[in-house]
Amino acid sequence: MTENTTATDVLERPDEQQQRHEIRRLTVRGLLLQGGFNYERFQNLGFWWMMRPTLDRLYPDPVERAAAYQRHMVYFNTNPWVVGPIAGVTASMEEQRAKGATDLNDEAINSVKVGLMAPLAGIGDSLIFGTIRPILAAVCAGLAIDGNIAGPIIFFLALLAIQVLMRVGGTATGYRTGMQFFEKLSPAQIDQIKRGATIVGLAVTGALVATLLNVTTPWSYTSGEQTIALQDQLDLVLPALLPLIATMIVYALIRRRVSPVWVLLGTLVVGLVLGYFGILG
Amino acid sequence: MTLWQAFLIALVVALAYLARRILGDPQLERPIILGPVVGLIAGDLETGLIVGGTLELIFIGAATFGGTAPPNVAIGAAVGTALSISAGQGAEAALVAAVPAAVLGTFCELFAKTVCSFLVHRADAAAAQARGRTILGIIWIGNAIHFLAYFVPTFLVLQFGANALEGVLNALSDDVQNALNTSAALLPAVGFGILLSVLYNKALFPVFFAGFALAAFTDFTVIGVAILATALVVVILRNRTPQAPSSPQSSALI
Repeated sequence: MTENTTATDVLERPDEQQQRHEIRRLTVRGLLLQGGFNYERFQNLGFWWMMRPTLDRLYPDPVERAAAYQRHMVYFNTNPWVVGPIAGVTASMEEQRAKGATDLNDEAINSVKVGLMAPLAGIGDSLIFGTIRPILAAVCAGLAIDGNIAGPIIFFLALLAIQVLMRVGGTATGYRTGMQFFEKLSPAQIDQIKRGATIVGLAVTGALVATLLNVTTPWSYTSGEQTIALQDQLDLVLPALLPLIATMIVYALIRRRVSPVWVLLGTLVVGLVLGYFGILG
Repeated sequence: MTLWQAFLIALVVALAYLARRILGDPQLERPIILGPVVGLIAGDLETGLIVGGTLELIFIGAATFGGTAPPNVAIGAAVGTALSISAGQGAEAALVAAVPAAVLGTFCELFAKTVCSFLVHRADAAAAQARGRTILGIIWIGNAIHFLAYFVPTFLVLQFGANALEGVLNALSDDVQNALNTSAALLPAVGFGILLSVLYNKALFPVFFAGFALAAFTDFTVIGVAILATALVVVILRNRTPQAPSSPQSSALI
């Protein structure tokens, strides 16, 4: 026991230059996270790939190295853009462990990984795929449809810039704070960020439905002498009512776990049928 | 569509997908990117841009969340763009090819991810002996499987699907063309529905209707709504005292 305590006392972090080098390496290697993606353990091979140079440096001994390799062969899955903090925290924990912090056993390291991957994936998915990308896509697709090459270019560059910022900032923060990451960014704060992103995402989705979905009906009926277009009547009640209904039907189906692939095919067919008979136009 | 064009387009699609695997998911396989690139190869950048933009809107909400299998937008976009250009048709015709191709393409990714599951056990054995090079080799085999799972079907469809599609398109009457326009208008609802289910949060859901009403009744654009919502969120978060930190598990559920 005393031996362990002394070992923990003399723990030293690498000097500043080594730290910067490690952060840079982890940031770049974070790009590899989804390599060898599989349905059994998702990003586990990619996570090992990302960590390999760090593990090799810390564990020259074959037995310890094998243990480290196996430690990171377990299930892992998060949003690839937010892996930075997890890579940083994990590398920092492995450094402590390699220097004798025996309380950092396999379970301790894995539980921190798991504790970070789910909330961060929540932020990443709602912020990137739920908010940022749809906004950019809506604007840039409009440009592209007008034949403007700036559409795809802006889309690509803006997403790239956001991704680079998230990766660089995330890895550095994770590595430097180490296990204190949760003190810097508590689960409650992570949850708040996710809620914030969800609010913006929901509002934007509502706006997308109202502006980009051009579902109308060409139906009209005769009332006395007048021919009244049904669409005009609908617009008086609630503009974009039909787009809203269409979206809510799809949403209800997906919430009931109907595969998106079937919903897509079904929508294509329903659109063809309703369009052919002039119910929608 | 010449052999070389089909080959190049399949290569571009498979590389764009590979970028998701080993280059940090830069969203290169989105229709808005693939459309113009495929258009350039097929000899019509303008149509590629328009088809890419149109398909981007249709698939706006489609993404891989937590290992689900969404429609394959990359193969759908590439096949739709390439075949509509080679048939000399517009964006609606691209849909005829894009949607079935995206649906069938779903199985390509499923296939690759399933096959790679067998590799994991080999990696386990190598890890137990600290054989890093072996694991790396296994990962590259996995990456090659992912690459081929996109490359081969795309190439085959482009090579052999062009004539069939051209026949179908030429046989279409005006009524069917109108029906296609309707389908094209309705399809983005799928993306929005997927988006909503991703963002699902019972307590916050009314915000969706707020955003909808703002854009439906006024001239607010999507960006306008986004700015307004972001400003409100920042104000709310700043004025709220953070709650006592709960356990990570409980926060993951929200």
